[in-house]
Amino acid sequence: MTDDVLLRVSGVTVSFGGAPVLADVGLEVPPEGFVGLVGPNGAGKTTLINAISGLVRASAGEVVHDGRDVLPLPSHRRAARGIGRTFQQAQLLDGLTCLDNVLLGGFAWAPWLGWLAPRRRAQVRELAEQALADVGLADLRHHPVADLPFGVRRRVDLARALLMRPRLLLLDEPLSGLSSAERGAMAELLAGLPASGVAVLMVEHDVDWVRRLCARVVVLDYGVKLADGPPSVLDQPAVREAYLGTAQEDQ
Amino acid sequence: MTVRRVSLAAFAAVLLALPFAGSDRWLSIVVLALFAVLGAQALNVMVGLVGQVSIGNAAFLAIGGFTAALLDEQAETGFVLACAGALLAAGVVGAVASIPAFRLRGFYLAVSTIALTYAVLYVAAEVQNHEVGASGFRMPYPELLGVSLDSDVAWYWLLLPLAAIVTLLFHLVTRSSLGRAAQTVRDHEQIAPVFGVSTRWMKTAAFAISSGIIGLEGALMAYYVGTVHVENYTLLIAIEYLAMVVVGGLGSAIGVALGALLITALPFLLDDGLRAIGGTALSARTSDLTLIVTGAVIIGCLLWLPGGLISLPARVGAAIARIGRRGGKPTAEAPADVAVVREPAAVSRPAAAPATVSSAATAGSGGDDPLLQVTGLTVTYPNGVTAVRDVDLRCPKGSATLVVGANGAGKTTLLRALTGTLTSEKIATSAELDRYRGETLLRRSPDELTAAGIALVPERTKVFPGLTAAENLDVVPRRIAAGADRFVTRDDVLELLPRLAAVARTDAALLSGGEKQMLAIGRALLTQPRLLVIDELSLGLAPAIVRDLLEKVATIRGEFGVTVLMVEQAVRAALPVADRVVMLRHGAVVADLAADQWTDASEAALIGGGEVVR
Repeated sequence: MTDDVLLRVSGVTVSFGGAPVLADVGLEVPPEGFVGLVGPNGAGKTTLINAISGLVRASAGEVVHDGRDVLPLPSHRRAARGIGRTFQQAQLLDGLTCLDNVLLGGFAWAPWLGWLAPRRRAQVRELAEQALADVGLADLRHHPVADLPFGVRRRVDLARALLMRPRLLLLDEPLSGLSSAERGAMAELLAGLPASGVAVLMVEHDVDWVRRLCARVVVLDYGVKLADGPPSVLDQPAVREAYLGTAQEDQ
Repeated sequence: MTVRRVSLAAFAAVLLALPFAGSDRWLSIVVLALFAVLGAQALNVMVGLVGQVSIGNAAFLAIGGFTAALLDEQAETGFVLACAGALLAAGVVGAVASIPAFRLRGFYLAVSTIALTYAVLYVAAEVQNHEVGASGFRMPYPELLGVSLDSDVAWYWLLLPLAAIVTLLFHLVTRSSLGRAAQTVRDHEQIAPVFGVSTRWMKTAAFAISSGIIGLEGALMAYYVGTVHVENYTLLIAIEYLAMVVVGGLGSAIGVALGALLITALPFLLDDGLRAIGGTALSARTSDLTLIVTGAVIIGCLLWLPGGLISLPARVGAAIARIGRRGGKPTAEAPADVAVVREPAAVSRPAAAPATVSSAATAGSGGDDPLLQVTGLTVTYPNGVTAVRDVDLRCPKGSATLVVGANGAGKTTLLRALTGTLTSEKIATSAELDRYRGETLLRRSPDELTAAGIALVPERTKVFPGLTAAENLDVVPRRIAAGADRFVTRDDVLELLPRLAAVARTDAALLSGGEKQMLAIGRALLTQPRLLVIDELSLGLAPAIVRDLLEKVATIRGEFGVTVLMVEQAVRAALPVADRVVMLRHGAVVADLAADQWTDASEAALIGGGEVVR
């Protein structure tokens, strides 16, 4: 079974203060797959990503990653097992440079005292520089992140997640807040991830890009799965009603 | 870099020469300072690196002192084993004391370390009474490698390498992979686990290492002073250590070492100085004066050097660079003395660009009455980056203006300048904002601007978490309305945004993105704005909600008579509610079009950065 499914979420339920935010949600991400997670605000998309990465606790269900239920594991152990993620608002260490921020991604698989293992350290550093170059920020690697604009910080966040060498990457609205040009560049980066061996589960509101990037789309509404299938599910009337509003006008 | 190396080398040379050249008095002061370096470095691991505020140094010093006393006196272990035992005992207690830190943060954690201090001192007092009584333990002169530690010189040669090694070690750790992980726990504790960092492990390790070193310091100090008495361990000591860390530079090992040296030596320096200038008249009061001046120096450091002593060279360099730039421009003036932006010291504070405020009277242009007239707005950050360059912007009364541009084009800086969260330059406003009739918005504080009728719906941090939605609306003072066209009541807001009534009793932190945006808009409306400034209305919201919110904006403009200025990425979606579109690029206006003139070509220019067809 692990051959065709990297992540299997089944029956996941999350409640905040008694109110269910996710009820019995399930989905699957194949290895090197690209799955979109859409739905109106408050549908529970970010909560589902948080439940998979361990930032919120699910009260029921299973999250099987790479053949093992990771729900009982604390968040940092899930990271070590190859679950990486990015954030809507890149949470960076503002006192440090781009490169230093990206280097944090190496902690998941090379946590120990760098100067005791110089070869390992050099390897992490090389990969970090490569990750920065991959997101187009090679020139800014020694630039402090504090005064970088939103879109650039987003790319630093992505490079940091890539340095974790994840098998599954959870992306929380990677395109929001970016200009059209930046969206195009970011989407191009994301489109290349599956080929490099990274499966993606992406929360995103930009329906056009969801259609173009995702092989499969899961729609949530009020904590319940509304649809799950190829991007054409976005055209189902129920989905349009819940997500786009009745009037039809993409973007 | 080389300047830094030279000064470090000079500093090392002074330290090495001290026992041969300095006076006995100075040698003993420096020995005390070296003790302080140990304790301050240890505290910095907790407070500066991992972000766990502790006022518990006295407790761990006491554990170290009493453990050493008991081991040496009762078990006759000798100096080295007694010190090792002290380190271990304090480390174990520290590890246990980290358990509250799993749940507590900041102030609450600090209080728990105070509680720990009293518990430890209670036990120490019991031990002391039981074993030796009121006089306390007497410690022998220790011997190490056949050398008797009975003079300041001997202690100096023991402590100098120890303090140097601890400082160097923590300096390296700060810059290592482990240090970055620790800083993530400090700055973004909730997300640190996502990068494989166990926050519990990190906190326990920090507490144990820090406490162990302070315990070692306590043991050494007990031998140095010659007695161990419970009354020597007070909360005041803990606070003094905290001052060393903060004055030196939170999180910087080198800075903390400097802070420890300064705070220890300062009272002695002042004492000498006051005696020298005051003669007999002052000498009776020097100790009081010394305390007052020491306190003033510490407060001064905190106020004007929030990055600590370690940030001093960078601050001086930046000041010199600023003076240099200013000298180059003959028209320049206006010092950047307005501390409007309250951000961490590392974040740049905008320096004032040359300011000549233009007149608000622009009646010549078509007769439509500009509510807001911005002329030649320039915002330059102290690092030399000009985020907004000579921008003109005109918002007629009742209009809706859309500001577009790539990230980094200066949109948010522009809005922040207008709403007073930046020190802004060259902004003039019209008669409509009558409290500023013909006056500038320059250097007005955000609350003054709100009172004058400019309301911001911010991009982030829209709501006050911990308050319900209704309480978020109640935050607006009732009296603020002054002569608006229409007084907006809470009922008006709930009628416009009915969803808010449904979530009135929900904690604002738990609202969805769309509800938070509605709440922020509703709250802004209650300040009775003439100009509503909205930063990224659509950010992170589903298309249906964006459309709904844009309809509300149209209503706000039409029915409430509020002028609207929006920064927006979703140009297409927002276009129907706008009548002008202003495009920024690299901080400058590259297009200013009527909304119906916006074409696919303009869109292409926005995306591709080409020429804008007018």
